[in-house]
Amino acid sequence: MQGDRGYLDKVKIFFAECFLLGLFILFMRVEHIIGILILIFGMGACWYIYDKLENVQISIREILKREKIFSMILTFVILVCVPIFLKDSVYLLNLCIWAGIYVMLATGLNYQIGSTNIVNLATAASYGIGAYTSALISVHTGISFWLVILIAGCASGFMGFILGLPTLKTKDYYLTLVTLAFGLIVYLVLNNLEFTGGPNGIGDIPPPTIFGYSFRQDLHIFGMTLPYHVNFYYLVLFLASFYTLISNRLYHSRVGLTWNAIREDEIAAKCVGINTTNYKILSFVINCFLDGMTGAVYAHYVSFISPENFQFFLSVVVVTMVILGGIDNVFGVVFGAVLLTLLPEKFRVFQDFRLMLYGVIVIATLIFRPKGLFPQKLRKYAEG
Amino acid sequence: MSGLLETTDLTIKFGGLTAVDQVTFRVDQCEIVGLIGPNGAGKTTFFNLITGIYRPTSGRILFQGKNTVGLPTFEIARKGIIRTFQNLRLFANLSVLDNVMLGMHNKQRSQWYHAIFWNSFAKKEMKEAAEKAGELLSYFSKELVEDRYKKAAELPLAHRRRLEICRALASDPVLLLLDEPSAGMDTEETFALMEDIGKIQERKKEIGIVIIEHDMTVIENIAKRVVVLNYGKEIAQGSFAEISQTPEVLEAYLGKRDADAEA
Repeated sequence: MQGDRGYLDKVKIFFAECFLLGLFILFMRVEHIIGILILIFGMGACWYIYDKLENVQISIREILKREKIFSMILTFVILVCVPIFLKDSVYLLNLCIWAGIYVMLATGLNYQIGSTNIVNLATAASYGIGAYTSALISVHTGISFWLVILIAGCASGFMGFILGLPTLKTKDYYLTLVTLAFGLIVYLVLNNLEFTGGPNGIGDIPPPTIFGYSFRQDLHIFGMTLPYHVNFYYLVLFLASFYTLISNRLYHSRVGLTWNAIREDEIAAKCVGINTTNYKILSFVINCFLDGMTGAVYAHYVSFISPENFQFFLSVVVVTMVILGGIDNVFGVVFGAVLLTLLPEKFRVFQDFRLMLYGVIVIATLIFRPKGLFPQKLRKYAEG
Repeated sequence: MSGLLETTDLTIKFGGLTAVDQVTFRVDQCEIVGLIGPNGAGKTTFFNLITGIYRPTSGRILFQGKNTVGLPTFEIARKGIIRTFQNLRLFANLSVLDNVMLGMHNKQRSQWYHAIFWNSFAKKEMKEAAEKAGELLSYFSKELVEDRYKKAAELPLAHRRRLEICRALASDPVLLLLDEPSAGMDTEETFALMEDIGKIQERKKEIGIVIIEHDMTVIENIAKRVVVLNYGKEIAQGSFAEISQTPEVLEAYLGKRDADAEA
């Protein structure tokens, strides 16, 4: 009986995920206005149904919990296969890579905005410091990318520590302003320092190599030729999966719970013995470290960076992804990042109305769903 | 022999206002001391001083013989001084179980690197904490156990107060400070509260409790000794029977003219 149900669950999950894959490819490919609108309304309707029917939510969660490992492996396999469906379009592959990069940025920011309620507007700064650190080291030395990415993470992590120090004295809105100012300062420094190339930025960043194989080489596999972007797609896929895993683990650990306590009531948190300052600084350091690694990946993907890539608007975009996707819900944040990367691109068909439509969707979500499309779920514990 | 908690001439001034005025106070192990006084007398401020939320202008606070003035709040909590709040400070959007588990924060060891790189350890610790929390809840209330995955904000008031007490107990306190735990409760709920406090003492005999209350039934029934504050100063101390006859106390609560009406 148990085995039968397990088999049935797996079949359901398999078909569901294949269906989602088809939907995703369709969404990426469709160019016609009507087609896009139909798909968006369809997805919106599905989300609405999911949101309103508690039993549907519960049964989906049950099935995923029972077949956790199977569904994770299947998802990963499907994501590995995505480039095959997109191998003719460098534009679409690039879009997927961007979705992955934003997933990495958003899951990091979620530790602060989602878990701890620290609105950090300096994502562009930690991302940029990671990118620049990695670029400078790669261009001037021969150090391997795989070490450089860690160094970039450390550099940004250290920046996060510095940024977190004022939490001792400032709170809430004031801390947000500090991060805002910090982001602007970093931009100005990058733009004016000769060492960082000023407004000309840094170019000719060498691509990563692994066992002599350069990431700028096209991939020949199973008789297919895939453009070199696929290499970066897999790198980003691997890292984004890792970031998502970390997010999940931190959320269900004492750290995630403590962050939430600080968010809910900082004084009560102190009174149960939580060192709130340390935990807040921890959220800064982890977020910024991960942003730094992401920046290194970005720099080595586009091979040319300049301060223009790290402006305040990017921080705002990532904040929007976290809030819209779901505050302190890992799946929601990932979904929000992917959705808000793909939507403005799809809305190109609307030409002049593109950004307006994007803005309308964001504002509508904030009015009707301030907690995000997928709000935080309560933690459940395996009890003996 | 020093008491569990001793304050000597504890004073705090906010600008021109002296909220707590040279209060010398003591509570021992196994003791329940009532702290009463009209609104604004400085009782909650006194608790805030002991728990390190405020820093005194002058005076001493000794806990188990050691000074605690200047220590950050979380350190004082770690030493075993745990409090509840007049207007409840639960972690509203977290579940009942999460609230109690957070009370156990100091007993736990797992850090961020455990969560990321040694996840089984982090998970195991949370599972054990959840079980202990469940056990603690069941000691106090079947309803709380049933509702353990409900958001704390969705519970009725009496359950929320009970939850806050459970959270406080999860920290394994040495000194428990209860701030108006029966506020907003009816007779039945107040009676249940007194039973709960009895259960606390049964579960851990050496615990010292200071309870701020306006409901004299509660004070009468459970406090061995009562301290009365008015305008930040201590105006009387003794058993409930004694202080309820003291003229200064009657005057503080009822005003000068109708002091005889109480008797």
